[in-house]
Amino acid sequence: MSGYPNPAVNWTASTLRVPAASYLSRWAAYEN
Amino acid sequence: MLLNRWSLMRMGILAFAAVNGFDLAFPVHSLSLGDLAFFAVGGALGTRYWVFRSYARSDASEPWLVPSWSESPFQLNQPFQFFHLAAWAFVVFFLAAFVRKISLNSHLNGLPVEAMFGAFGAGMLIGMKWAVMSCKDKFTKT
Repeated sequence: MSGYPNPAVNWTASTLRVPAASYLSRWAAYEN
Repeated sequence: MLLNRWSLMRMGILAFAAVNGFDLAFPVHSLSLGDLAFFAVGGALGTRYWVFRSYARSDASEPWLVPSWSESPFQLNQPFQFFHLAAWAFVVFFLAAFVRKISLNSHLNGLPVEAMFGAFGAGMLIGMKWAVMSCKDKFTKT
């Protein structure tokens, strides 16, 4: 294993964070 | 499980969580069982009472959907769909990290940080199951 940080895993993780954060902020706005 | 773009996307995210868990080496910190219980209980209460408010609000008119692999996880009025996917991603992340530990034969010095994610995810799943069981007549399966 390449250990941390593995650039490919790192890149995918930060990419996935975008829709997740976008959903959570829209949901928070919808809630209030 | 219906095979559609949402279930494929969810499986892709879980596959990534597995790779991430297997690949990512956190420094080994000792976590006590009490710490893990704290995260599990937090996850359970969080989904049962905090996330659940979206369903309980008085102006909610849509049917309450039981978490499903084939539903879009990005529906504002169905937050369980999103948190269900997130919870499974945490659990799979932990399981992959655990398998790696075993396969590398490294000794488990206390419980690794990954277990914190696993406990939190498992707690979230329990909280959602709890909410669905408590309001069985209101939740609809898709």
